[in-house]
Amino acid sequence: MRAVDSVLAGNNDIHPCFLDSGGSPLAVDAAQVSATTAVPARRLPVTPVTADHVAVAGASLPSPGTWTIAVTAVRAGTPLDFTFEVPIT
Amino acid sequence: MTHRSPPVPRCRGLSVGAWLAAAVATIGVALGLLAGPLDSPAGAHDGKGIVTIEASHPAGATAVHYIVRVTWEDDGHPAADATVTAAAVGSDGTALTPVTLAPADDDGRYAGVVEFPEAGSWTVRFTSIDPTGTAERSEEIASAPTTGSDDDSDTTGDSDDAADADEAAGFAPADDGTGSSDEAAAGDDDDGLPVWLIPVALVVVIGGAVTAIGIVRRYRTEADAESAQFDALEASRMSNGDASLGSGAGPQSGAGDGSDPSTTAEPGPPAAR
Repeated sequence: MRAVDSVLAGNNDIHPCFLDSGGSPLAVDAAQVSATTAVPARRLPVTPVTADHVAVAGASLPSPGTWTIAVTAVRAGTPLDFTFEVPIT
Repeated sequence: MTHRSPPVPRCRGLSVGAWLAAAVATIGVALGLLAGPLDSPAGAHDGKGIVTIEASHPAGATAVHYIVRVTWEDDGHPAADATVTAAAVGSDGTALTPVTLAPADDDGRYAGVVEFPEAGSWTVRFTSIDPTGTAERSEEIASAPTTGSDDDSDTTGDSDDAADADEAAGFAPADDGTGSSDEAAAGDDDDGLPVWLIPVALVVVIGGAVTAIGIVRRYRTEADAESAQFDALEASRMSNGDASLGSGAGPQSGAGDGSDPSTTAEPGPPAAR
């Protein structure tokens, strides 16, 4: 999974893409994305693009610092959780 | 000599206060325990969710509109803030882009339309996150009916072109069984003239012609009668003139128009009109 086109404070587009262990696209049924820094996690609106790709348009990451992006995907009823940190300058 | 220790009212007083405090605390804890399960906030929910497919109906040739409801498994409360999608997978494993179902009410219902790219067997998986739950449904999508050309050998001669135009424009068919559409269709067949105006116009024209002919014939009859009377007067006047002129010469044979000279010789009353 890769995400975050920009690391500047402000509005950012996030594009989580899901791959299996072999690097092939992995279709998921649903995905949810939330972002947090010093404040409680805030859910971001997700738009499905393809079965293995969702997008968050204009995610507001207003303050510099390390933001934690949490992605929850569900595939065939099984939840898959991913977390990664993004430095915002 | 023995000394009796004085009573210690403070101990007695402290004991009463402690009992009161303990009683208040106990009541408070009991109320808290009772109120907790009865009025748990929405944020206190945790665990899995249950996704129920409540309704589905066609939304086009190869599209289906779904309504699902998501509840919390632990207490059955509606999950009004879930992320709910519908993901269709074809019989060959092709996964379509999941469709996000929008909240339909505050009772945990979500709705949306899934467009299937082609006919066939599909498995639609409804997935909820926060709470996490899933439900599946098999969907048989029939091939879209072909509209075809409108060559239904219309031998009745009724004009359904207007109805066809309405259908093309997205309006309801002209013959909807209510009767009102028939009136509308009838009004569309001519060039804007109401149908009832044509017989009225014919009656007016024919009546006017008959009246005019009657008037002409009546005046013509009267004119003929007047002309005949005028001729009779002229004849009588001529007869009187001839009698006065030929008073010593006797009657002349062949004079006049064959009327009896003896009667014409006498002056008579004017001819009655």
